[in-house]
Amino acid sequence: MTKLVQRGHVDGLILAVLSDGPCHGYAVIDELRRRSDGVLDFPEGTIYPVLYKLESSGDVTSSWSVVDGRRRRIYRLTASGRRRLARARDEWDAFSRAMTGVLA
Amino acid sequence: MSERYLEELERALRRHRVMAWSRRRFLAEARDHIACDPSAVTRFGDPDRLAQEVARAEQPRRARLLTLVLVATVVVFVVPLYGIPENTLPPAPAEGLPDDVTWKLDWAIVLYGAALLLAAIACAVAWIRPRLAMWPAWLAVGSLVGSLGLAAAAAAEWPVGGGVAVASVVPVAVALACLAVLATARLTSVPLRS
Repeated sequence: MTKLVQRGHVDGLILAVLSDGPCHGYAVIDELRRRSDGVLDFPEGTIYPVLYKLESSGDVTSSWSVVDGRRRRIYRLTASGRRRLARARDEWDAFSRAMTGVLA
Repeated sequence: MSERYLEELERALRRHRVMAWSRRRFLAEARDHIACDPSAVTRFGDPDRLAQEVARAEQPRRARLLTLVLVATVVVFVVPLYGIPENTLPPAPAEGLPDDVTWKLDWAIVLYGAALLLAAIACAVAWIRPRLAMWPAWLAVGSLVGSLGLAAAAAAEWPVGGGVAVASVVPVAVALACLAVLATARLTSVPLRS
């Protein structure tokens, strides 16, 4: 997991979750866990700084909203974020193919 | 436990100079998250490390904001420095200025122009490559300080009875230098490289 963080794949994973629609930080963590059958169980202390970084670099925007009676910070993908996600997917495809080619 | 954690986190965010509005927002978000899932407090991790990450994450935004403040600060210095071209250029050039004063005035104007240009470059770079923006920003501050220093020196050496407008550089520059010091202090919160 540490290697994943170091290689910056967390950014791509979060962008992928947000590409399905806006959601708050708690839901991002939950969705990553659900989609990976619990393998990608990032702690909150990892996800929030990455969300802030993505927002600071313009890949994500956020605003306060009321969800289920609670005030939540909702994150949305921007056009720049979509482009970055496409690049992350391409890079992952190339990396994955290369690994499969060697390991299979 | 969660309140104590949030208090520690707030202190850590202050220590790492996270901007006030960003700090309030992060704390509100963390409080909201912990209210939904009290066990999450342990998953936020060490407050100091988390605050450091948040501070690092907001560097691009901070760089953009600071360079905008820098441009505004440099532009404001037009007010005290306006006396130089007003007193040295046509249609009413000052007569009989000593060479010691003339070269200082010329260089003050050149350095001010450089400061303005560098601040604009820093601002533009901050939107593309925030990490690189601090180099031209620091050079802009240096040029501005040099410009003000020369203008103030020229005003001090100005022949008695003339150059009232240039002489006004000193008090106004001192007042506005406070702005430059403030901008510089904030610039130091963004590393040249990260």
